[in-house]
Amino acid sequence: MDFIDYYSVLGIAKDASDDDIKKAYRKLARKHHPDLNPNDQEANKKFQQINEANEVLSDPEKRKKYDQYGKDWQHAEQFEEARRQQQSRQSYSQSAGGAGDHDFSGGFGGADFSDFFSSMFGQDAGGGRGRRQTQFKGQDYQAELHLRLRDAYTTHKQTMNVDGKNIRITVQAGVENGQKIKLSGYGAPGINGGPNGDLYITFVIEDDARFRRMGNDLHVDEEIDLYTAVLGGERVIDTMDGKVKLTVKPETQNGTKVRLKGKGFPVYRQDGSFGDLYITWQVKLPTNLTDQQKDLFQQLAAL
Amino acid sequence: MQPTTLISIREFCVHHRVETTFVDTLADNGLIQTTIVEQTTYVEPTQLTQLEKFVRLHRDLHIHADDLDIVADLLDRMESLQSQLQTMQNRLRFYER
Repeated sequence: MDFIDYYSVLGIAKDASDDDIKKAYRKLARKHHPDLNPNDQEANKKFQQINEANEVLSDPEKRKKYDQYGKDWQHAEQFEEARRQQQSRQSYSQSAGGAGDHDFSGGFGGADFSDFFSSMFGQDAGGGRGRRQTQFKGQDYQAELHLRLRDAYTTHKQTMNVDGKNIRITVQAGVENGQKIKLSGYGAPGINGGPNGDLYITFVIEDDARFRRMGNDLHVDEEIDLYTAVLGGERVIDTMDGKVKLTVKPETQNGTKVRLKGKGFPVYRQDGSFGDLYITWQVKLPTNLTDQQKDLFQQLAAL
Repeated sequence: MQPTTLISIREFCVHHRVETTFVDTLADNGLIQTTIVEQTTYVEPTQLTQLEKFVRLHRDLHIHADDLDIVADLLDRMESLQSQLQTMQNRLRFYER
């Protein structure tokens, strides 16, 4: 647990007035609010920090405690522990005290205060003054799932670990790099019996050494020797779903493209529908020619 | 008879501690769709995510209900631009290899 300087989080001086705190909070909250910065985890994190700082500094009691212990907050913990022990030795039978009268500060940050905050103010201290209102839906989670291009070619099940829980999902064939899916109810638990948050998974598809993808089409470069390019011939090509024998036409120019219809990438959520595969012939010129070969080329050139 | 698949605006507003006029304004501005059954106004559960987002923006940032349509419009544009950007990045990646 690191010390958090709530004043610097809000960018205000230690002697800032309540009004200064309110203004600083509003200014930063407008900038970093998760609803205004969708898919931006940094903004989400920043908003949590701002929220937490505001929660402490806008509450006179919390601010006093924070100011009192500040960097030595560990001593505050010890102090609180000593106080609790002292209280437990006394025979007061206080049942429902002030600690139960919380209005949970929900939203994005309220439910997720830092360890530092919890150690100083207790686990349930967030939103104690009821300024913010109860939220029912839990926090949304963001996750990334890295796939190889070949993994994205077929519909398959995959298990991923999110927040310590294993979640098994079906990855649909044809998913795009950067595409996002929502798994309802797989986010943080709901508050006060409300629904859980959602889990957003962004697919990150790694480049393949052989195939390049453009939408649903695949592109691949294939080398052919000079003689096949000039005279024509046959080549066996590896596609995503097996080998295909192709005829190379005589006098094929370097960079000629051949389209194999339906041999590309599957179209997302359209069973049986595929893009095309484009093969670019890369004519490889012979090297280390023998004297005889050079002579024959010279004869050809002279014709 | 209350349709079980709908959520009454009144119940929603009590839950979230917002005025019903707030939701009415959103509906008037076309930001959410409401349904009136036997003089009671409801929203469909599919609208809840959007509606709760507006509540958060209103509550956290003090954005007036009338101004939320501008925010919603800009957010839609941002989402569309992000989607275009992602497509362009994927195309660029193709040519950069």
